[in-house]
Amino acid sequence: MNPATNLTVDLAVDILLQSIHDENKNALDSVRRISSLQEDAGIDSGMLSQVDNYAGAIKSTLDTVQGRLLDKISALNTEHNRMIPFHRLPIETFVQVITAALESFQTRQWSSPTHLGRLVTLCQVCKRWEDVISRTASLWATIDIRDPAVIMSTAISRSANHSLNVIGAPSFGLIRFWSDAPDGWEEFMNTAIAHSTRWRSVQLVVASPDAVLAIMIADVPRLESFEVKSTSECLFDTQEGGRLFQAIGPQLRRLGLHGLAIPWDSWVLHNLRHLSISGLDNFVPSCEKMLGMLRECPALVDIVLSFNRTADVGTFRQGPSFTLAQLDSMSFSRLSPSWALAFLETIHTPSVRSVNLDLDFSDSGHLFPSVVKRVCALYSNVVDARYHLEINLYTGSLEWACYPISSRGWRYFGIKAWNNPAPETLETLWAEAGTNRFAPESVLICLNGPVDLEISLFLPKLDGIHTINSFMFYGGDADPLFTYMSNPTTSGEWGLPELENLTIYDCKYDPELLLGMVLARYGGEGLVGHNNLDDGRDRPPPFQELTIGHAPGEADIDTLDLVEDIVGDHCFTLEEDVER
Amino acid sequence: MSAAPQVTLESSDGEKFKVDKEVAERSVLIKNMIEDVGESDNPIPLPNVNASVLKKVLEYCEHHRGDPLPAADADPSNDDNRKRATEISDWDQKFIQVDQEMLFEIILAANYMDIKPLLDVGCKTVANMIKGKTPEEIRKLFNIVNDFTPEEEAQIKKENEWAEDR
Repeated sequence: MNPATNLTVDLAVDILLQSIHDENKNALDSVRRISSLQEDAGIDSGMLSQVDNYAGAIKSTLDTVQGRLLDKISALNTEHNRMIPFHRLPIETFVQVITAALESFQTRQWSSPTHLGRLVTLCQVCKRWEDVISRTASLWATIDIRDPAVIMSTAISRSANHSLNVIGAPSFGLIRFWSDAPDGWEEFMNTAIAHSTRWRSVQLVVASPDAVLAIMIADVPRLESFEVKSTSECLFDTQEGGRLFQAIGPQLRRLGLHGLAIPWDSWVLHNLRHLSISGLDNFVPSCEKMLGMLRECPALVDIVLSFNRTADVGTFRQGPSFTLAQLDSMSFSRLSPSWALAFLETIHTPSVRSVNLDLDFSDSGHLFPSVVKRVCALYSNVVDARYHLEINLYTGSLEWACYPISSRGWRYFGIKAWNNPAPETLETLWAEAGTNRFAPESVLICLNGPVDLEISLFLPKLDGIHTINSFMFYGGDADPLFTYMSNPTTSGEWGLPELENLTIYDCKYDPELLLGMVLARYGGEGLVGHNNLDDGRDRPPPFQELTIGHAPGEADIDTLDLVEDIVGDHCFTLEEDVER
Repeated sequence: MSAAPQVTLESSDGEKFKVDKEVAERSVLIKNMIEDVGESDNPIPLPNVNASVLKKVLEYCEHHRGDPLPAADADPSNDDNRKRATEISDWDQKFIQVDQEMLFEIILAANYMDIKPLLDVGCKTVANMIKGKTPEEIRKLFNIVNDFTPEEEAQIKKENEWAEDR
């Protein structure tokens, strides 16, 4: 555009702005109106043609003006965006933020957006985001089977030579919910395998041994993480399989196999940090072999073993014990208790903080005390950690879990018992639980079925703990709890001195004791004695939530009305929906 | 027992902060400066960090004075390092609950002073603000205006329609 035209356009912009300002919305309509008047006045076609040309020229000018105006507005907005605090970050820091914002999209549920889906959404924020994101190769190095081929191709191209994350399945923790290979698997794998030399992590569901073979023989010099689920159990015991693990052994950090047995004898994964083997029935390695494999992986940080069935250890000859010094988390699920016991006795785990045992003792009840003894020995490792601690007792079985919690989660202690476990075992577990050291914020005790256990055994463990804000009690005799909350403890304080949220669900209790507890804590005249404040104790905080659950018709409404009057209807809930 | 060695830091607006050397050396920039120049009574100038931001940064360094320093060659793409980087402790979460202007100033200061853990906390905090939000919500949150022309926006939306359906 020459300077004169430029000047004209600038002038037109000013006029148009003035026009907009004067609410004269459409200059072109005005021209057309003039043209129409001229036509009515009988002006000849030549003149009309000239008017048309003139109108066309004005329209063209207005289009140019409009374009320029939009460009100017866009430029002004870009200038505004340049000044905001976020955009003062250097590009590498900006990329660090975006990378962190995308992390969860590699591991979230299958229904969530894909990594690339989220990435292109972020490109729509503004030109700067689009520009930086488009030009940052590392951000594009994750492809997902749910991405359209065209965006996958763009991503592979934009990611330059960065190592690729290949996602063809939900994250391994959720893989059990995925029953079949997803649509478009073959096309996706063709694309992915063409770039196998760039694979850093692979997460796949495969439907046949042939599909496994295609992956196993791929050239994968950068592979660090390999997680595969086979939809039908298969043994990949071939020379190629052995070669793969020989080739990738040195750098492989994470291995997850579900329903897929590999040549266990070729196990050379010395640098493995995360191991998960699950979904095996017929091709489970022997306990001795499994221990031998673990012995070869001194850097392991977490182990998940979950088999459909394991034979009893039988004549297993226990080898020398060994230490997994960095092991933080272990989960043994649906293993023969004799396996679990062999692991717990053979492997020394000084750093373990998270434990999950889900064992069926129906055929090996004699091992129960030994396993419990080993479990109790782990308490000293875990009770100081920021972890959920949960003990589930079934008829003849034990589930003992100490799960990590999110940074914003509560410290939670739970005991769940189904039917009637051996009372002395439960007492042992409670006695060893060390809740004083664990100092939970939330406590759950859930007794399902005909469990004949008194929580009065457990409550003294809570003496002196000031962290407990929430207590939930399901299915037992709540009278000891109400008495405990109404009276001084061994430390001379209120039982549960900081409790604000209490749930009593499907419990047996004396309504008078409940009312007495509430009166005592709210400063009324207690019915259970020993609760006056002459001893200088501070009164506990009022309830934020008090929930009582009963089966229909079982609640003592008159007493509960009194309770509600004291605590206030805004924080009292009566649920009459218990089903048994 | 002899007192811990101290250093003086000078903010861009001339305020001086006397802190334990151990605390100041959470900043790789300052650590290198002390190593290069040697111990001196002269204040260490930090021309890119004003007093209010420096005070916050030093609060962070003081709280984390005993923490192990991150490995200089830690690969952020490594699975384990990445996991660690996504975790923000309770104290850090409370520390970083500041207005947006201060948040980005802290990130800039952490970047300039080379305090990687603080930079990680800042970036993760901003990342958490972004997660799950639409472009419009992100714009509103950070006072960004849509600077695409209508044509550009229509084109982008068309190209990215598939992502909207997810």
